[in-house]
Amino acid sequence: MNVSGRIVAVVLVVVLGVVLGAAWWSLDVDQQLMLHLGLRDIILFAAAAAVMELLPIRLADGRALPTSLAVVGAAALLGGSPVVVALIAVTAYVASCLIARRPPAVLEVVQRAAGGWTLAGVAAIGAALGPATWSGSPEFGAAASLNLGAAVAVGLAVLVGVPTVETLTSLDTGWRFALRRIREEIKRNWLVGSSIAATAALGALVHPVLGLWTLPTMLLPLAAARAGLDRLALGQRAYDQTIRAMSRLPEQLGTVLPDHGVRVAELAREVALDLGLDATTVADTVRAGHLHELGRIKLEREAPAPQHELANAGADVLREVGELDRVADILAAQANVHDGPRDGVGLPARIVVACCKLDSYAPDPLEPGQRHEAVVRLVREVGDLEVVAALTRVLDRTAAREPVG
Amino acid sequence: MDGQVRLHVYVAATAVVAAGLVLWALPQVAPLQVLAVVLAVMIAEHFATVMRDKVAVSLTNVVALVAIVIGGPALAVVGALGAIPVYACRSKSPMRVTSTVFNSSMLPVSAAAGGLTYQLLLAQLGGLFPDWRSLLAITAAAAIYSVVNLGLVAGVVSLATGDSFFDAFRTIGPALAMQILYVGIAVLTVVVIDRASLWALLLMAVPALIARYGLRAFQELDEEYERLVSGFVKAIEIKDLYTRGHSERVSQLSVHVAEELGVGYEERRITKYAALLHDVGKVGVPLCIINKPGPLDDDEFAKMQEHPTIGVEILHDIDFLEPAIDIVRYHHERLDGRGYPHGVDEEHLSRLVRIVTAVDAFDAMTSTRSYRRALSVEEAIAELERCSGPQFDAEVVAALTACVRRLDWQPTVDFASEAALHGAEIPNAPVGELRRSRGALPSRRERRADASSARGNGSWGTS
Repeated sequence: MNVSGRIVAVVLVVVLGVVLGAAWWSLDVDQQLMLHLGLRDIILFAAAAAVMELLPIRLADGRALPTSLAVVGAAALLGGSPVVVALIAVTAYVASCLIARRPPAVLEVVQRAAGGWTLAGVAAIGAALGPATWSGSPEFGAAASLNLGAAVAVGLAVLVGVPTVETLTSLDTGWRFALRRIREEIKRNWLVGSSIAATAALGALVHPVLGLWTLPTMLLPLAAARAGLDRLALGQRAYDQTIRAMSRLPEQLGTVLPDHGVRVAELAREVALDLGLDATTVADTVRAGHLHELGRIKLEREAPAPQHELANAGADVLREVGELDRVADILAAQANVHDGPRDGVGLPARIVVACCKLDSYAPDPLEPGQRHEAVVRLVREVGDLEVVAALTRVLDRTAAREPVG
Repeated sequence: MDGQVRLHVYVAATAVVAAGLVLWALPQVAPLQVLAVVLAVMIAEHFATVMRDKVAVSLTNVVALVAIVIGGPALAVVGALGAIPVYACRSKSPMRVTSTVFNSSMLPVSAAAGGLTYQLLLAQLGGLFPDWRSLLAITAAAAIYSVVNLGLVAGVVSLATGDSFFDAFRTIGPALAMQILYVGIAVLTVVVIDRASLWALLLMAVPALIARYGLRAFQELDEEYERLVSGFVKAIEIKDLYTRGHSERVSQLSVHVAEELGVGYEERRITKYAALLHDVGKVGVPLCIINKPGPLDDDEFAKMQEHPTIGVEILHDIDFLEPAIDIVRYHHERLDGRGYPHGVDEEHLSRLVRIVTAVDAFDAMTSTRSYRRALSVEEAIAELERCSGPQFDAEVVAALTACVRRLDWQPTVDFASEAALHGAEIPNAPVGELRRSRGALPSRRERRADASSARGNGSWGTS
């Protein structure tokens, strides 16, 4: 997506958020959401949210998703006004920055404020549309209560709304494939989102009974989920980083330029996204980009190897490794791209071959002269117009974003 | 009375106490409540997640605390019987009956101790759930439950292994800290059951199930990861006729030695992978040098000495290996600073580095190489002991010796087919000739002399 497209997306999201939040005032929230949020609660919610800001859940790609959203969501479910919920979200973020001794980012402050504002409105709309507030009937003491409509609305906002906004404001490939990217983002986030949504609802449910003790107890199951998901993300990162490290094996033989595998993989990821491949295939293409020269460790370094032989040797090595069969297939398919007609050869192999050639043709593809020359050479020698066109779009976008180096 | 008899008497005594408690509790509980708690205990035990070091995390503690608050100690004692069928099906040890009886007995005993603590404190403090007095009572109950539970386990471990009771009890610290988590979840559960609806428990189940999913998926991924790394290492070693399987063996034995030295689980895990990858830099050393049957000249030896540095260059951006990357960087260094390639001394060599360095040398000595046949395990141990101090850490060598004797470690002679060696002669290497270490960084003159005979003189390292 170009800059103007991204601005349009951000403006749309902000307008929608403001409108949703403003709905809070036009609905009879006192009736719909039993108001339990006093000044003391607001201060405690902000403090708890600040702590949770410091304990985000990290995904395999390194992104950190703030678990403070669970506290902010609970505040919205307890009838906090958009101003109050936004205030809790912003205070928590700023306080966490002060604790971590880093300056708050203006964009993050705006995002937190907008998120809190919107969630309060979403909860009010859900409460107005859904069934009346449900309460337990205990033998003695206060009853737990929850507005189911509001809980469902906040749950949907966390599970669907947040990933949608995240995707729309960072789409790099224009509006093409936007739905697929949103779907993938929802799928990627659903475990974290479910934990956050369930915790928010749980907090709102038990608050009438536990009062002060709500926050320290409601966040414990979420802390357990965080521990499990963080561990998983750590393992996934180690896996990907190891494949990236293994891309350096052929470089040590002296026949491949340093970081060639890393550059090819990064370019291959962008091209695969531009061509609308699904997330699994994109991941396999990136791994194939990293490992496409791996066959060199099997061949004699002194003898120059024909491309198809190198591709097949790489596939053999991966099959011996035994864990990356799909990537091995992509490497093997490269042999066909090099040798003959491409009919029937999948896009991943064609992408890797084109990116590999580009990296050898143009050491700095962002330099306009080199880029033009390399693309012409690619068209002439690779002839895969679909992939070369995508590659050109990716290079143009990258060149527009980054200064020539 | 010998150990086995004492163990059985101890288990029988625990079972008798548990049976007495169950008989005391049975008349005091409502059948439907018992059914619910028994089912909850069965589910909690069935879905226990086995984490590192065979430590299982289950929510049985939470169920016991909830039962204590809702129905008193009697309900918790009888409900604990739900664990019996799960333990009976799960146990595969030769002492299946004994372990099932013991595990099933300690839960009612712990539940009774925790429950009575809760009742006593509540009576003294006069609190009403969920005020602060009742929360204090639940916390104390959880602590007593845990102390009794772990005390009973420490007793059985002590009797079974001969270790001291207090050594076995040392795990109590982290286990007590975990009780805070259990107390919080138990309080939430009681509120949800007592003041809302059973259906609302689903809200709590979501993060709990996701936590379990994350931990289990990580375990599976870790196994995949191990296969991936092993696969890459094998792919690299495939052309090195003499050191095939070396990295795998060094990794396995290093983990054993680390365990012997009391290294924690996370460090052992990182050591496993770092040791597996310690020679990955050899991919940058020409094969003609690696597989050279005769002695290396100066240039060849210098090239060989680069492999730790190349290894670090390859692996430097694997974040989780960062705390153990020194294993790759320094695995040919010596405590006296005469190793290579950096020549650093003991100050720079962490315990994990010292472990892998000694194991690496041990495996090299007990494997056949192009320049000599394998030494026996006892000969290799003697050499390691002789070099303790200047080259190897004496404590590590002692632990390594204990491990190889316990594991009945054998020299690796099946390294490659004779055909693959193209008829090359492999000399026997008398121990006397192994008295010089090529792991040392000798003077230029010594190195020149060493270079001509290096291959024939054996090595404490792999190159």
